[in-house]
Amino acid sequence: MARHLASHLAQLVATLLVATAAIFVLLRVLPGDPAIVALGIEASPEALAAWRAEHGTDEPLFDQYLDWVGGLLTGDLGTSHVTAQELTPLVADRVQVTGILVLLGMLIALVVAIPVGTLAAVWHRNAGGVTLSAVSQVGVAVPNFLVGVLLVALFAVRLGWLPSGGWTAPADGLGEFWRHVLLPAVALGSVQAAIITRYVRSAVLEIMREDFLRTARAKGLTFTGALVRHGLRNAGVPIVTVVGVQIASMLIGAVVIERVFAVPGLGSLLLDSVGNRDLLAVQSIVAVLVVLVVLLNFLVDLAYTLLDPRLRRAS
Amino acid sequence: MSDQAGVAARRRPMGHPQLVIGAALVGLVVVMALVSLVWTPFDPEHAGAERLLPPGAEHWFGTDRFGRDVFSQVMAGAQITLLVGVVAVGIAAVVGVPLGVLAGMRGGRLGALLMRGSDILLAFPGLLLAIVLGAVYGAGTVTAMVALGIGSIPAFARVARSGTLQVIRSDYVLAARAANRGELAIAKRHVLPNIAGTVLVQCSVNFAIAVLAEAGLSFLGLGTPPPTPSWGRMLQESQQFLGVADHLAIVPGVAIAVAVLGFNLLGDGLRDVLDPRLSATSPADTRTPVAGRPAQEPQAASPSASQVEPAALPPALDIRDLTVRTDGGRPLLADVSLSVAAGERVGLIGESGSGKTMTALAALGLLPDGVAATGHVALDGVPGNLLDRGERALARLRGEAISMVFQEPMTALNPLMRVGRQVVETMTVHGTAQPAAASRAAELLAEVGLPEGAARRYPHELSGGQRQRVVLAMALANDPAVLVADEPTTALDVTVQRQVLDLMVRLVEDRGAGLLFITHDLAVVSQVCERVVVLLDGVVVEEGPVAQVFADPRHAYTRRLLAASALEPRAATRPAAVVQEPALIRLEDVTRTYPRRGQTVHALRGVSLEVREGQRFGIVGESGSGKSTLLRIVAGLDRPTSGRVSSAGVDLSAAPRAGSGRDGRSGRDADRPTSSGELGDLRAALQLVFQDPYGSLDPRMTVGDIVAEPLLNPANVREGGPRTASDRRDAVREMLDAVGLPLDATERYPHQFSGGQRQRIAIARALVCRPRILVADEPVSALDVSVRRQVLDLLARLADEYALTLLLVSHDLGVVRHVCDYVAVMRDGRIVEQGPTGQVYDDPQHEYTRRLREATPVLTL
Repeated sequence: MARHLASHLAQLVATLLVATAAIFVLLRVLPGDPAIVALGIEASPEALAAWRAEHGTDEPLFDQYLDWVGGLLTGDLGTSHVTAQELTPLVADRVQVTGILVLLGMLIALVVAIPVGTLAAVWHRNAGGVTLSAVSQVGVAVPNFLVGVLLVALFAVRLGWLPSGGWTAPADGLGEFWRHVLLPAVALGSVQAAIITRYVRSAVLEIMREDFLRTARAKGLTFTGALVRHGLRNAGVPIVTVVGVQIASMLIGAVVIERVFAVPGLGSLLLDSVGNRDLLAVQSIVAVLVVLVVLLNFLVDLAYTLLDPRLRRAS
Repeated sequence: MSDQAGVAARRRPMGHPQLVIGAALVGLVVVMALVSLVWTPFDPEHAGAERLLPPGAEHWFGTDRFGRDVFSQVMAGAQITLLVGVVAVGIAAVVGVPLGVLAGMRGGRLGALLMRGSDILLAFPGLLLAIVLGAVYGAGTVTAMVALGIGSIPAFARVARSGTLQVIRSDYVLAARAANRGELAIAKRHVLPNIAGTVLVQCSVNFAIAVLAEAGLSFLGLGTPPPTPSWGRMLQESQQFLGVADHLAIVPGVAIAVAVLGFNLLGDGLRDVLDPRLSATSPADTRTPVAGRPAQEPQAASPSASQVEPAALPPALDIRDLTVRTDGGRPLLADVSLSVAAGERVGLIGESGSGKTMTALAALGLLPDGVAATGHVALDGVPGNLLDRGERALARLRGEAISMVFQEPMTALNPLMRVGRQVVETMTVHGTAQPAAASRAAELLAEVGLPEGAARRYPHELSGGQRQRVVLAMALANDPAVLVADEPTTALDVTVQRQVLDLMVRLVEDRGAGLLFITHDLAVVSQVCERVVVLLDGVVVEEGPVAQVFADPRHAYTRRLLAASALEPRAATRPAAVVQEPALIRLEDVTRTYPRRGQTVHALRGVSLEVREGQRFGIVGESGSGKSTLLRIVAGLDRPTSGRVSSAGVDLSAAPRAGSGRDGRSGRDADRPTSSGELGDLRAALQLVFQDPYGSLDPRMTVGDIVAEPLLNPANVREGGPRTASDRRDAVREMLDAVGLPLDATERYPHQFSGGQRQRIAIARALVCRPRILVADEPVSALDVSVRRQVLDLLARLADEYALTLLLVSHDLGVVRHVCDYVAVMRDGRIVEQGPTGQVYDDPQHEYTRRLREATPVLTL
């Protein structure tokens, strides 16, 4: 187990090193001199030199990379070129918003997907199961921003029950927080519900064919009892993987939903920075997102090992 | 053939509504895009009409804020959608598939490195990559396509790699390697055709992902720039007019959903069509349906048990007129009647597909979906017909009054639960209190001979024999009146089989329970059972006391089965003469070790033997004895770690390790065969037949191509042998004729043949180059009894006809004794004893040989 963990950790570190290097090359090296990007080609050489000195871009690239990664490790994301804001508190604030949105969306998705997917599998031979499966199939095809737009059209524009966008942090009033978070979370969660329903369905179908489920029934469990006691935990192993992967994809996918609902999340910050040509900010935000995605994948691997005793012995 | 008709039905697209609907939706999008190239109702970029018109006769889907026709825009938007999808999927497939295939075929460090590299891309989902690239190079269609393509590379690499691994681990690739085919030829002829299906499915699925992502990017303003119409941007622009002109959101939204749904359904449909489990290879499909009751022989014993049995007491289990049909009405069992008295042990025998397992499952109410039973099943002391009970009422009986042990101990237990808890559950389910059940479970596990502490183990920590003991403990925990055992020892080694059988008989006797024992092995029945029921194609053809039925079988089928089961020893003809011949295969002190999970596995620990020209050399051993490793080394498919090996005059000894780089090579790397060049002579001289006739033939090649494959390498063809296509065709026909297959077999595919026929095809392939040595690895262990004998006799006949030296590996002493004149007994990587077969069998010197012989079930008549 310890050995297993160590090898996974080593992989994690290697992946992060390569990934940050790739980000650095993509956003710092390839676009050319960030001073020119920031000030434009007409800027005077003195202004450019001053800018470079101020932002440290006149140092060797490798040193800059080390500086930047060191900053990431110590929680210092640097300063925006454009707004001169400290990035760390800003990003931390935005991560919180996006995190709430994603986790709430995933919660909604799981609450729907686990029972619906299981029923779709158990009833796969009759009309009920086929209908559930078809509905989830259609759900997967609907882009989440369409759901968002339609939710706004219905609940904000037509009925006027909820605001069409904006954000209130939980600390500034729980009531307002819920009024603001509900529609984006549902928009994000409903499509995920459809996706995860399909994974749950196929995992449960797979489990239903397993010999050990038949053994469980042979010792006196009903079909349902065997499925609940023996099937679902086994089906849980692949489902956990999917949930991890989907949370990662929601982190990125939230960009679009944040745009629909004007939610000040990490995605909005990223897009604003892209719009401002604030490449240093883009670089740090992308790094934060990539680190989150890689960490999630790592946790999924770990969870996998914990759930399945067959993998624990790997050392 | 009805099987083929069934296959055809499954392959017909109309049987797959997903495929049809998916193709239709995709077709719709494609047609829209193509038509829009030459015609749209209005110019999609021209603002000519009134603004924000609702859908109507002139503008079907209304107009937008500039007065542009929405329908025309949607049509034109399909172009961008498809373009982005095609390019993104193209990039991902063109880079990902070769990467995956290479990683799969090369394995080792390179493979790991390639996959690690592609995995790092997982940290950059397509959408994020598109935003980043957009920030650097400017957003646009090209950036989107490239970013989405790169983001999808890992998906393709993974699918291609796992598909490749599956293919190259198959016996048919091993056969191709044994036939000296190069890696490139293997990739082209075997790997790519076999993974094409899954790659196609991945294309379809990723196309859907690309469509969604492109729409998202356009929605964010990072996709296709205006004025080119794009669905995502249409949606984004609609936001300002929500409540005023909702159609502006709905129309492009539906268009996106239709396209994504279409590609997803197409992918799912393709997956269903290509799923091997749905093709004819699954046993359920090859099972012969009951054609009707076979004609009874005049003096056949009546299948009605009541006349045979002096039944004073009601039987513990009574099955009457049990008929099982599929939903389609195809009968699997027809009027099966049998009974088991308390304390009685009844054998139910028959070959695969005869309906043995169906009988047992029907009795316990465990029939799979899609089949239903009629008739009567009664348990002593339980009122009414079990078949009329609902699931809940049946569950109360299962594990309590009647219980079952299954064939496959490796998969019968829940892998995530400690075995002790699984035994406890059997009792708590039926009302025993937890503490009482826990202490009883400990007793039971001890009673079945498991070591202390076994209760805390997970199934994967136990051997197959131990797992079967756990299943047995579970089945007997509540002292049921009837135990049904379905091939309980078929998956176990001979010596373990003996122990488990003895244990089972003792436990059943102790409890006075009835035993219904299902097996294909007549010798086992003769040792375990008192009465026997013979099943053929779902019909009981004969039953009676074992001694009577086996000594005086009434039905022709029983006679055939008995004749095929009794493998008489090979008449000792030539051993003395053969010793004079030169050694064709020579091993001196050969060892083979490989690392597995940080430990060193010693597969061979110093093996020496000599096989002489014309000899029929048998190797007997149980699983893990090293017999398969030995065989791979002799065939040049693996290298020894140390020692000297020569095979057909080719030196296969341990290669000197080149530098330190090779020392740390992984297990998979070390398993790789040596390079083909120096082995050319060996491959022409030595050919192989594998165990699994289902896995050793490439399912996508015709039988003609399969048999001809070894001839495609000119190095394999003898002087004067077939070198042109027409010569090859003749050689294939001659070979098929020699193994007793019809000539029209050349145009057919492996799935159209039975297991025995497939093994004949494999033999034809092995002999088409006229090798001097034929190596057969468990060639009959996957075959039914009656077929087993035919294949063994065919091997023996061909060995004579083609003057072959035969090296036969088997776990079954009887098989080796039937075919071989010399035998080596292996255990734990060593040869414990070798000598002329008759001598070793009749007068075993080593204690293990004696045990093996005693454990081997013998048909006593």
